[in-house]
Amino acid sequence: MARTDSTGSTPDFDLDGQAAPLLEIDDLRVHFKTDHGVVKAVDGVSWHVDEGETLAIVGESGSGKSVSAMSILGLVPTPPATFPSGDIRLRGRSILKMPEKQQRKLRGQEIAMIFQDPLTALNPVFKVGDQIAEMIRTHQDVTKTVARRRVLDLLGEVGIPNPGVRINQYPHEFSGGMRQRAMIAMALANDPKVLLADEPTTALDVTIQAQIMALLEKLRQERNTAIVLITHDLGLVASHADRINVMYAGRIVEAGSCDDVFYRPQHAYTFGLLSSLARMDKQRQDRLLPIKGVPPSLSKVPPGCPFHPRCQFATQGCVEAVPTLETVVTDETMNGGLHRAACIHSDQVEIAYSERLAP
Amino acid sequence: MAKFITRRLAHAVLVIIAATFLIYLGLFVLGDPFASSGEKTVPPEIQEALREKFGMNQPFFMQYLTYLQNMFTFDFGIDFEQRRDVGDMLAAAVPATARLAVIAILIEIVIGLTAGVIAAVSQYTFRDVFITIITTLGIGIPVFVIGIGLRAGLSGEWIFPAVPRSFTVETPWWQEIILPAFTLAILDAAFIARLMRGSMLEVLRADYVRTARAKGLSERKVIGKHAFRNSVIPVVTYTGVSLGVLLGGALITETIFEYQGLGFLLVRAIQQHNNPVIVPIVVFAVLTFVVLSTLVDILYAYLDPRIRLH
Repeated sequence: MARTDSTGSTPDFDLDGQAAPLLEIDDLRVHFKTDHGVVKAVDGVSWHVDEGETLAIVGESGSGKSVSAMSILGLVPTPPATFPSGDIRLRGRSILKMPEKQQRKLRGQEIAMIFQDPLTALNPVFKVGDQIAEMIRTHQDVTKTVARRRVLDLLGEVGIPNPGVRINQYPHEFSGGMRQRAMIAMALANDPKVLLADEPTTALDVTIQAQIMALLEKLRQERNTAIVLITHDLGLVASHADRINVMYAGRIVEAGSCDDVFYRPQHAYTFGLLSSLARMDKQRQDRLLPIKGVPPSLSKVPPGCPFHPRCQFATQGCVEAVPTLETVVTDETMNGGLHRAACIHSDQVEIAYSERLAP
Repeated sequence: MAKFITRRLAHAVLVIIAATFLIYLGLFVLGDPFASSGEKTVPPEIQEALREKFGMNQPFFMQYLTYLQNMFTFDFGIDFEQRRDVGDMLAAAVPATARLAVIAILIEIVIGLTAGVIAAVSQYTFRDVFITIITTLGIGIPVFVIGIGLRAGLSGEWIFPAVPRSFTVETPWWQEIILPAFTLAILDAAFIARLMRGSMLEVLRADYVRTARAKGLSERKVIGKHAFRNSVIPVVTYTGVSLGVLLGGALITETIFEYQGLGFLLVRAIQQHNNPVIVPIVVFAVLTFVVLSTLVDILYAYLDPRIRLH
């Protein structure tokens, strides 16, 4: 619907003079003080998302992708967490600087979230219908009867058969896929502008995964909701995201349109992720290349590029300075998205990847 | 549900039969309850009357059946010491003990839950540490120390009646009950606070608490509704069982404060070998325990819908 700029293209990262994006995270740092030092879960991350758009945030466990999303909803407990820098803005209004009471009004109303495990995310002792109705009545001044009618509509909308029966059941009486549908119904109850989906299909069967993703896709189109899809599953991202942010050790290492990231990766880590993935769109199957080693402990992030100890392209230069996110200029950058990567060997990465892609 | 209750009631009857049988064996068969022993002399006419009443001349099994039958018709016989009707003695002591038990439980629930929730939501702060120290003391100090301490320090002062009791002074029941009720409540309140703290801390880490926050609920609702409802479940079990125990009579506390309940009666009866008093009290204690644990199971299923009673 209402794109923020008149040209109709995706807004740039440099937004001088333009309307503020729907949701914007600006140089966010979330640090946790622990006995083993400061854990920099999110360390200078910026991104934005607009109406009707799906932004994917991809990374391994502990890359800071969930923490950045949870900070948006104020779900990161302080202490132990601190926010040394950065801001989160919804339509230009800073969420972090808002008083708690005002922040609460946004939660569930403007920004809603669905979680990884729908069994544990629903309260086992309350009926599913009541839990969804609570979401409505927290933000809207409606009677129980009206809320209940809305719940029935929502359950139907997310494809739960027999809403009249289901509304009175407890979460344990639902199957995994149905629970996630109920979670989605709850998240959509107040027609939020932004939906944060934190690994929404990880705990589900593959067939159910596809159904849930199709449901999210449908809702995005019908309601023009912005979706932030947090996942480690590149396959999921390929078919559903408009743009992708790849995170590693609390930072974004590569950002760009889906095509850019998948076909012209510029960061050695993205290259590693893609090379470790089995692909169905290729004739000849190369050997899958796993990424050596494990992600670094976030309290002891290696100097320079945090990925260098595991990187096949690493040189002395990678150890000396932290590479910044630079705009990638290639002949093929054409689909509007701005492609950026924080890798000093992006040329080599691109060449190596095109060799892998070649039949 | 009906099936569950029926089965539990049948279960209760079995437990009572087994319990009475063991008590009967212990008290009536292993030694003559009516014989004179030490300084105690039992007048021959009462010995005769009781032998007749309990059918002591009949074979063992018949004796036991007669005993059961008397019990189920609330005929408990006459006590050895004062020749009072045991049924009347119980009718006076049971309400007193029930009152004490219920009030003690109410006190411990209020104090214990409040302290537990406060400690959990302010984990590792001064408040939490303070509550932990107090509850450790509450659990560690034996009941009789607390009871004797309260009696020595407070009885006879302000509204608290003096101990030993004066038979000429009428004291309203609520004045009589305060000190023993607190004595009983302190240990359990400390225990409930611990239980609630641990259970709450676990629940606070649960995903559904995060969901509740993500819904934009106030912290009071997140804790008071979503977290509380889940973390109170283990406390319910403990409190129910605790009430079941207290209803059977608080032996130490009632004795310390000379509170005229089942516990006080039982302690005196044991000292006097007053068997007709001992048996029904012990049976009553067993019965209340069985009934209360059944109620706890039903309540448990109500609180946690994942549990179904079959």
